[in-house]
Amino acid sequence: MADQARFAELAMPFMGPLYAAALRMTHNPTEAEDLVQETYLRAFRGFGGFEEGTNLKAWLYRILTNTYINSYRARKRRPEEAELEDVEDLYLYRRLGGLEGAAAGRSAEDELLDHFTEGEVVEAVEALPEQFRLAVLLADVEGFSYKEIAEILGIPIGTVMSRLHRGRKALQKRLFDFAKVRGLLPDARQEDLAETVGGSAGAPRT
Amino acid sequence: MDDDIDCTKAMHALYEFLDGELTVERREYIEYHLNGCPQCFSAFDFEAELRIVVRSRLRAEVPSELMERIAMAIEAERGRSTFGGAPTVLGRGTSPSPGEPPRGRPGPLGGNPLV
Repeated sequence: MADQARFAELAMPFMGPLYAAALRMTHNPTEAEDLVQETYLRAFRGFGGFEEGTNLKAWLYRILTNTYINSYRARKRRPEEAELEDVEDLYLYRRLGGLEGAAAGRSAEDELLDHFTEGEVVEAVEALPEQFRLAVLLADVEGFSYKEIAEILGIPIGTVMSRLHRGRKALQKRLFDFAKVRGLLPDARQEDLAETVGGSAGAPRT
Repeated sequence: MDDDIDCTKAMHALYEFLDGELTVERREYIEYHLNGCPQCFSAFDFEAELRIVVRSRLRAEVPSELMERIAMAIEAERGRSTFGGAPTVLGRGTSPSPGEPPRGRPGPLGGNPLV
């Protein structure tokens, strides 16, 4: 049993990451603030049922996710999420020139990543259908394990893994599209792409 | 060829490796392969780097006003649980019915702590 008197001390340090996640869920700062506040109130009321010493961060994220799914998303009545196009593994890496000539040290592909702006990464993440976006955020940004994500989202571990796999690939495809539009690709790749896919956002080659 | 088999296995385990989900034994197996295979190493390195970039771009500063608002909301809620049934100014349709003790009632998680 956790003591409510210690709630603020224990839970407040997680507000930063919770707010960041809420922003990516709602796409809207005002709604994100409301979502975080509601999460903290619910957590405070339910804190008696939290077992101290267990994973408080995961527990808070589960409340955040449930609150979001139950109230915010329902309120929006979004249309059925679109299916994700299936793209190949290592989508971005292959297209930035990797796996063709192995380079030593920090490669050109790695350096290219530095050029992605905050706005582009945010847009790429927010464009992911929700089920994939949540899994990717929890794993890649918050560093939760598969088991923790399964518990937070209430889905089997196998589903966590497949959502991560597909979500990450879709994210890479989106980032690649940004790189292409901004002309970030090495010249040879840019020309190569223009010829082979006619600039159609990198359809998998057959 | 053995090398090809190892590369295939390594690529297959890429995400589980980066996610820290492999057993020690499998992890060491992959590490051993990566040490001798610049191509796989480069791909793993790229994926790890990408994750760092994504994470760094998604940071968000909590508005200080929000921190204060939440601290006040919790204080108000604490007052309710001490004195019972006092109206809150902050309820957003989440308040329990009047007189219901907040403590011990199942939270949104049904009171199940995560292990």
